[in-house]
Amino acid sequence: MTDIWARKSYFLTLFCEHILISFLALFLVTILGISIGVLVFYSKRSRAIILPLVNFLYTIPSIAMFGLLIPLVGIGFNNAIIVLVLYGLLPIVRNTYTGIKEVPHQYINAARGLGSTKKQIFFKIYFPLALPSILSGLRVTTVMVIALTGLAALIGAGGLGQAIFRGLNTMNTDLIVAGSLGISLFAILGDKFIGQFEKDAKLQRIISGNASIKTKIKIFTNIFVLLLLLITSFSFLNPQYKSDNNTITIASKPTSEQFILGEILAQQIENNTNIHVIRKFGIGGGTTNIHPALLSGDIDAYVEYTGTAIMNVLKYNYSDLGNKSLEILYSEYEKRYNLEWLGLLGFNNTYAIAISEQEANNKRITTCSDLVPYSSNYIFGAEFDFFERPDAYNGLIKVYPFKFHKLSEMDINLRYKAMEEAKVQVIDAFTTDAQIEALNLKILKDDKNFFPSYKAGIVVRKDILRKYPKLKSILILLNNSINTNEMRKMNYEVEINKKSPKQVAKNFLENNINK
Amino acid sequence: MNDLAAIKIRDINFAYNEEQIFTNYSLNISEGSFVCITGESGCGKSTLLKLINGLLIPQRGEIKIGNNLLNLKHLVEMRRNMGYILQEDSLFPHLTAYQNMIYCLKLRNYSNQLSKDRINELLPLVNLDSEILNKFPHQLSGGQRQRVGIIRGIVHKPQIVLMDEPFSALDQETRSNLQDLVKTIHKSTKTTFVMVTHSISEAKYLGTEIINL
Repeated sequence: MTDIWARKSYFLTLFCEHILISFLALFLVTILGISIGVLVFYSKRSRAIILPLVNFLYTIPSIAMFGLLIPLVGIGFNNAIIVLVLYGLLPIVRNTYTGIKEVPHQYINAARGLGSTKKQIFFKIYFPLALPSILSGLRVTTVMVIALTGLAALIGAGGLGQAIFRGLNTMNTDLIVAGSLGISLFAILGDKFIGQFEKDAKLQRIISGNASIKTKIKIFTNIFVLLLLLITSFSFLNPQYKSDNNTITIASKPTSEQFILGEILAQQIENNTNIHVIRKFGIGGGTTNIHPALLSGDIDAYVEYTGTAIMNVLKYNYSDLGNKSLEILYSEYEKRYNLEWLGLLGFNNTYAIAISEQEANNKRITTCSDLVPYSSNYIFGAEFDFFERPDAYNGLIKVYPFKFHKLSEMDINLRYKAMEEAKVQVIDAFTTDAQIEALNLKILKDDKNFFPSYKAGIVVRKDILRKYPKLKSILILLNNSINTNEMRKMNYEVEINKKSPKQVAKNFLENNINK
Repeated sequence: MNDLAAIKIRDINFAYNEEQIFTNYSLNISEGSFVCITGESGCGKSTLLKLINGLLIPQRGEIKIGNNLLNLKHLVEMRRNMGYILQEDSLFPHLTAYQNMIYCLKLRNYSNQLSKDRINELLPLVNLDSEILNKFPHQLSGGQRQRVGIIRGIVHKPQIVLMDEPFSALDQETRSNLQDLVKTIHKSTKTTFVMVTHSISEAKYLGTEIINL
């Protein structure tokens, strides 16, 4: 936990982001939700359309909703707010509608009979009497929105969820625990806060104009504290640089390696220019979400892998391109997307087949072909993806006719655990995985060149290169500076030795680039 | 008693869904009278009151309040010249006794001072202590609630007061106290009262006219 204390300014930033995103979403959803609830009460026709629609929105898995909105509004803050608002609607709309509907009829009869106008009936009778129900809906929404803001980190909007994802992707349990506890605590406080308005009908008393002085003081103190918190958060994050033109946004996928590479890029720019770097690290869905954001200008640069770019972005069949693949990659990126590859960083993070060093030595296995005759003795473990992709298992067994004793599908992060517990003897690995070193594994040589190359390189928007003429010369200093061993070592530093990607990147730059 | 009609009902038809309640029904209620409407439950006593108040609209025929035809356009304005007293559970639960009493004054944006003066004038009339003013309905007894309800119904000096079984949920003693009180108010204000009750003895005691539906 000393590690967490050292990161306190990181957490403070995440907390401030979390509170601002949650609050804005809650503020909007409250206004929108109550308005829709009222509309639905008065208009039978809209009820038949809106209630099922709101219900439907609630059933879309939240992760999918973030993803679905990317083509429309891009990644980041706006996307997060829209998703949170759409999700939070149901409890408020429902509770507003039923709260109004269930106001006992004798009160409405009395109010009408005494000569109230429709508007007076709403504001003097319906609304105050429905308020307890509306507030209990708002409580549910508050807890939900605060918790769901945890997912906003997936689309680069920040918040405490970022700590959780960073922890998950770099195998840092402390970060996961701290992020989760932070969100839980925050949700509990949010629930208590709204509960204050609900308790003893405090808000109802205030809007009916019959609250005691004590109640008023309590409520206004609460609101004051909230405002103070919001203003502090806002000024702490100091988002004035967003309006400042002198910025560049660097993204990363959600892996240790990408966090490190993102930091290396960011620090290299910060050390050598006065450009302000905005970090959008750990974007869920990786290339699928980063590439569109790069095209829309939400992101300016990130590190991509050649294999992914050729197959997933350009949609080429890798083996068709032969040794022209790099040439085609560079020119297609420029032609189709106006993006530039600045060259390659040096290492190749490709698929590989791994077995224990001991077993390899005993049986004298050094290549994939060597493994074939022994394969029926082993259980093979890999992530779900590996069995699904054409460039993975299905293609692999055509080139190397493995006949494994059994196949075991598991989550990507569990392969090494299974290896350690001897539940499997052969796994697929990425060549830069830290665990290869930690568990003393042997990477078998791909002697028939089956696996595509996944060489890392920096991709940048061309307009950014024009805007900052110095940028290119600074970034190409990183080319060919990281070999596969070096990358694996840095991953090891983060995942096994629990150093922060920031620190590892700093050490790398000090020792290798800015000597 | 003079012969000017405060309420004129002429040839009205009214039905709830399929159930015909009134067919070619006519009734004149003269100004300053205390009319009690009695009858079996389901005979349309409360319906008649709601028709006079415009909470229900007859399918045929017309109703005149004074010289004005009751119609949808002027409904709110016409209701403001009537008082409406229901059972004691109709006080607004989120408003204090005082706020309930001045409800009709607030609808017309009376100043706070005028409202306060008017309540101070009415409190002794219904035997209520000013201590109860800041209490909420659930903190009052049934009798106190109905006294508050009476003030709510007459605070704006209406020309007609409509009462829908106002005392039916109260015990005998409270009930006869309130009957005396209403009788006194009627005498002192000369307002037209129309009261629905299922109790013949109450109708005989209070009414200057009894209509059995």
